[in-house]
Amino acid sequence: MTEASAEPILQVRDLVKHFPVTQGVVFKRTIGHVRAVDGVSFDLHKGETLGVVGESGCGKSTLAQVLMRLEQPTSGTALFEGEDMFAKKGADLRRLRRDMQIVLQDPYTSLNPRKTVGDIVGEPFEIHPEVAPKGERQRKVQELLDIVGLNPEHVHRYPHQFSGGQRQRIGIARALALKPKVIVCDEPVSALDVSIQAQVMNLLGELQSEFGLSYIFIAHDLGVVRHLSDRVGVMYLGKMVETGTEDQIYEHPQHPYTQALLSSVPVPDPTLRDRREMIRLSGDVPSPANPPSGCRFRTRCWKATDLCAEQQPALEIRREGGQVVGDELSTDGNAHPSACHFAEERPHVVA
Amino acid sequence: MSAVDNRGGGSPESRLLEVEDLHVEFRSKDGTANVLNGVSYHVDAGETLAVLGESGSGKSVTAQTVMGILDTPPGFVTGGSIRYRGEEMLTAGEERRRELRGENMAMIFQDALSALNPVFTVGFQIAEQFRFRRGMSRKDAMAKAAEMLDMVKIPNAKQRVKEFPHQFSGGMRQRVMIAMSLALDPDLLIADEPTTALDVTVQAQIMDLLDELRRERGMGLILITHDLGVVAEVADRISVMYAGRVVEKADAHSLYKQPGHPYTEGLMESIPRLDMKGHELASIQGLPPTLTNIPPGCPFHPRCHRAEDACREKVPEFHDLGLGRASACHFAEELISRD
Repeated sequence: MTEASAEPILQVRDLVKHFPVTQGVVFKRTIGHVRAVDGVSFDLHKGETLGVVGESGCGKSTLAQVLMRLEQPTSGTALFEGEDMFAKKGADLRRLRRDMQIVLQDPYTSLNPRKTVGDIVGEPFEIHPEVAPKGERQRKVQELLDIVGLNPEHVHRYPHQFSGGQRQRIGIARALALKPKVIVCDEPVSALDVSIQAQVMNLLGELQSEFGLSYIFIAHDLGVVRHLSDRVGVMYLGKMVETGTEDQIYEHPQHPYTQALLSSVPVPDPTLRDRREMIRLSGDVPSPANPPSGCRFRTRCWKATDLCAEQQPALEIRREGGQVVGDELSTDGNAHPSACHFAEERPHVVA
Repeated sequence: MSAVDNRGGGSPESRLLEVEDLHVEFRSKDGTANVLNGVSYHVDAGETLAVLGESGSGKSVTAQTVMGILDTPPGFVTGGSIRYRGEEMLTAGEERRRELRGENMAMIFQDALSALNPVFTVGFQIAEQFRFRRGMSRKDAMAKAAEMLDMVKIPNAKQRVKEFPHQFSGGMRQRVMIAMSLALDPDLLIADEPTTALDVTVQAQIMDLLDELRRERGMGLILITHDLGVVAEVADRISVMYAGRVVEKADAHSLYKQPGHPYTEGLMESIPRLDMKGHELASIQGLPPTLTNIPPGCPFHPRCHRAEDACREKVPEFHDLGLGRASACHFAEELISRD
């Protein structure tokens, strides 16, 4: 995979998406906000996979929807190839949509049951006729089916005639139709059985190297994310708490939440039983409508002090113990940003 | 507490449940689906048996048949035997089965929200069992319900018994389910994908709780799951199911060390592991068979990389490999003796 080419294909800065909570039937009053995404920044380079992990309610799917312009952001900017994504309208916006596509989680509800596979995969060509002239569509669709490992003869079949894994392949073929540069994968394998999941993950990997795609890969399964990602961002209650390369996050996690998350994942090796270090969080994730003050993780954190309640830790490169060091230490191979006042590396939480 | 199974061994008092050669088919107007084709496993008191398999392998149907809650029609038991402490369940009357449910065997499900009744408080739903099975008064039963919630570590149990299921988070609801299933102190608990719908940090809490309760009560636990990670952390013994059969059984350590069936091996190789970064996952080709049309010979042969002519013709017997292991593969001996 290409290392950090000069200009990132996508630059996201301080992205915020709040959903209003209203009360009343006739006169709706806004009584609060669900802070689904609350200041997220990252870069995505060409040919790279950025994994986004987090538990339910952390805002990872809202992030996907805002990036796809399915939801209007509350504030923040995102530059796609240097141009402001959120300012685009009309023909410009349509052009952007060709370059960014999404693969959704549920292969059962994301395909229209009344349309044939040919119609589903060919639909993008209806909207963007310049990509494939009318006469060529059938051939193009069959080509796409072949690329994702489905039988091209099956263009006239309906979604219910396919298994879950095959349907996810249909979703991927649809996303590939317009030759996009970026694909946002929102939990693409979490509805699939393990043996099928592996097939789809391998397919995503092959497509990436073949077409030079960039992925934003959103998932809750940390194993899946590690397998496909070059860089990883860990989200908690609408914020990135730690970002780094796959190796930095999994082998040298600094944020207590990342450590707890990694330690909670069961490892398929019985010889490690009782020998792994266990970090067990108590309680559940607080509501994003009313997040804790200061550091959002403090209510479940074993390191929390008064400082954590008062001051929100910024996502920055920190020395052992949590002091912000700025850029001078970034030559150290394992230095990466984390948002904790007491960030401290804890190796071997994985195994 | 790992009980290595000596085939046919295990003292008769500790043998809780024995399922033998169970056959179940689902009949519909489109034909007959052979959902279970000879499932055998057993559980002893105090141990955890993991039943591992992908969707459609029959792991949940086996559990429903054991509990006597299989929907008939479409499901029909066409053969086999289920013995609870030596007593045959399949011929026992509905009255007797009802007596045993809750009191001796209980089950928890994947989706706790749909398993709980939304219009009654959780306390009421737990207390029901004490009132009707133990003849307690409303007040005493409620107090007992609060005790149960406390046992599953729900904070502030006395207040929370008065709340409705929707007021609980996913993890807390699963705790309520566990409290409800253990109310009458059963010695066998079947947990059907209890943590699949939960986040990892909560999953870890629930698995710890189940393991702790099993240990404290000397309960037999059947853990039905597709997650090889969860199994590795808690199971004493494992039965792997494919297309309505148990294709392999072994104790946890030997199974992970050297799988004795190509399907088990394929499963192990297809999980993306947290502790290593691989390049290509060795996936299993193709799809599981449709149960209306199971291939002849070994049901796994169309997906198996070792398949030979024998596999296409002859159904491999589920045969003993010593040390409590057994496998339904013609090449099982070869597989487990590799280095």
